Amino acid sequence: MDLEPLELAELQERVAEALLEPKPLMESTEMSELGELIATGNDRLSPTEQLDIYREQFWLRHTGAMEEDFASVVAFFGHAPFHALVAEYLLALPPTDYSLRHLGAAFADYVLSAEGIVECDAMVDLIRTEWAFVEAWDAADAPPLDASTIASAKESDWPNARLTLHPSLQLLKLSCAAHEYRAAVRKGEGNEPELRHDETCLVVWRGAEAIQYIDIPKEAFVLLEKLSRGVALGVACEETVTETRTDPTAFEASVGAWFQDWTAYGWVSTVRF
Amino acid sequence: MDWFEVISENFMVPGGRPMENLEKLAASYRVVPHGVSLGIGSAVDLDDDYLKKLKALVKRLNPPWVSDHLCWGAASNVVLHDLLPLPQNAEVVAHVVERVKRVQDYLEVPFALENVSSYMAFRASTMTEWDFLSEIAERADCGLLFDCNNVYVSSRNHGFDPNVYVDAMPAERVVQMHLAGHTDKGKYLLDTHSDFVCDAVWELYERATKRFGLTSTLIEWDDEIPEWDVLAAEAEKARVVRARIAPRRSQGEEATP
Repeated sequence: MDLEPLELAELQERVAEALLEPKPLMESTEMSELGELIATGNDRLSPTEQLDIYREQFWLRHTGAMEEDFASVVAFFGHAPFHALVAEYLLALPPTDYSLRHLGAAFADYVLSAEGIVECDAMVDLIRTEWAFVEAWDAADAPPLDASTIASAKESDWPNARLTLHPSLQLLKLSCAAHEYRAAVRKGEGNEPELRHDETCLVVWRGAEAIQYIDIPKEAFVLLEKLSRGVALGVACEETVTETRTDPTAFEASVGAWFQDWTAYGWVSTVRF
Repeated sequence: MDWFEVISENFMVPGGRPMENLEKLAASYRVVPHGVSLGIGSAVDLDDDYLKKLKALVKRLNPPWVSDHLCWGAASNVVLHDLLPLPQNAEVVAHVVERVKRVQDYLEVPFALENVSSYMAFRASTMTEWDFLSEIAERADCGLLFDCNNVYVSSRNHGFDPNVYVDAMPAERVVQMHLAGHTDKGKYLLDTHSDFVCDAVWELYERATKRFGLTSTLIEWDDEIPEWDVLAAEAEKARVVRARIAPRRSQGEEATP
C-alpha cells in the first residue's frame, strides 16, 4: 500500500469516514489499511487501534447526548434498541451542526420514515415531546405583553387582532400522554411508567422558573395553532368553530378565559390591531 | 472563585435559560468563553455563522481573550464534535496560522489556542507538538491556553517528557492554564475531566507556573461533577501552588527551573 502522506483535506475526510464506522476499525481490512496509512501506532496500540479510540469516542459522545435528550424514549424503547436506532439515525443523517444541542432535531422525522418500529406513533410522540423541552430551553426571549395595548383597543378592533406568541412556545398534538410518561421517567422512581393512549393537546413553554407544560382543550389548541401562524383572531375563531364542530356560543364563552390564561402564562408577546 | 470559563457553544443561542444564567454569572464574575467547535485546523472553511454568533457572545461578555483548541473537528459532510489532533508539519502550520489571524481579526479580541490531549500520532508529522504549537502561536501572534493535563496525557500516550514541552513554550504567550483529571484506560490515558488532578499534573503545573509566571488557572471538571466543596478544594490547591511560587519569583529567583 502507498504510504505517501495524504493532503490535509483528504486525510480529514478519510478519518471522518472512519469515525462514522459503527464497528471497531480493526474488523475492517479497508479501515485497517487507513490506520496503517495515517497513524504510527506505538508499543501498546497499533495504528488502527489508535484511530479506533476516536471512533469509539464519537459513538459514545453522540449516543450519550441522544440518551440525555430522549430519556423517556430510552425507557420506552429499551437501551439496546435505542442505541441501534440512534446508530442508524446518525449514519443516515450525520451531525452537521457545530453544537450537540441540535443533534436530535431530525430524530422524529427519521423515526417516522423508518420501517419496522413497533409503536412508532408513540415513539414519535415521545421524541417530539422531549424535543419540545429542548427547544423551549434556549429559544429566544420576548418582552412581556404590554397591557396598555390591549386596554386601549376597541371591541371592534379584536377580530383583526394578530398575536405573536412567545418564541419558546411549543404546540404538540399527540396520540398519547407523552408528557406524563416523560415526567414519570425523569422523576426516576424506578417503576415502569404506563403510557396512556389518549389524544393530547400539549403546550410546552419556558416559564419564569422552569420549562412548563399543560394539556389544553382541543378547541383552544386549534385556535392557538392558527394564531401562531398569524391568522387574524376573528378568522381564527370562525375556522376553529367550524373545524372542531363546537357550539359557537360555548366557544365564545370560553375564548375570553383562554386568552386570560394565555397572557398570564406569558404565551402572548404582542397583539397588533 | 475568581473567574469562570464557559463553553462558548452552549451560549451561542438566541436566548432563554442559558443566557439568563450567563448574565447572572457575568454580573458578579469575569467570564471567559472557551470553544470546542471552531475547528481551527479543519480543512473545510471556517463557519461564518459560528463566528458571527461567537462574536455576539464576545461582545456580551467583553472577555480579555477567547480560546479554542488546536485541532480539527469537521469534514465536508459531518461535524464530529471532537478535538481531533493535526499532523504536525509545515503545511498545517501555515494553514492554521492563516485561520487564527482571520479569527482574531474578526473577533477583535485576543485569541488563545489550547493544546489537546491526543491518542494517535500521524505519520505525516515532522515536528514535535511543542514546536508545532509554539510556531503557530508566534507566527499567528496569538495567545496560548496551556493545558497541563493534556500535555501529561499526550506525554504518556506518545512517550515524551512533559517537562520538555513546558520548557519549550513561549512563556510570554501563555495567558491561561487548564488543570483536569483523566482516566487510565490501560493502554492509553483518556482526557475525561471526571476526576481529581493527579500528582504528576500538579508537578507539571508547578513547573509551568515557575516558567510562565502567575497565570489565570481553571480546573476543568465537567463529567461526574463532585460537590462544590470538592471542586473548590481543587481550585484552592492551585492557589497554594501559586502562592508557593509567587514570593520566590518576587525575590528575583530564576523563573525557569
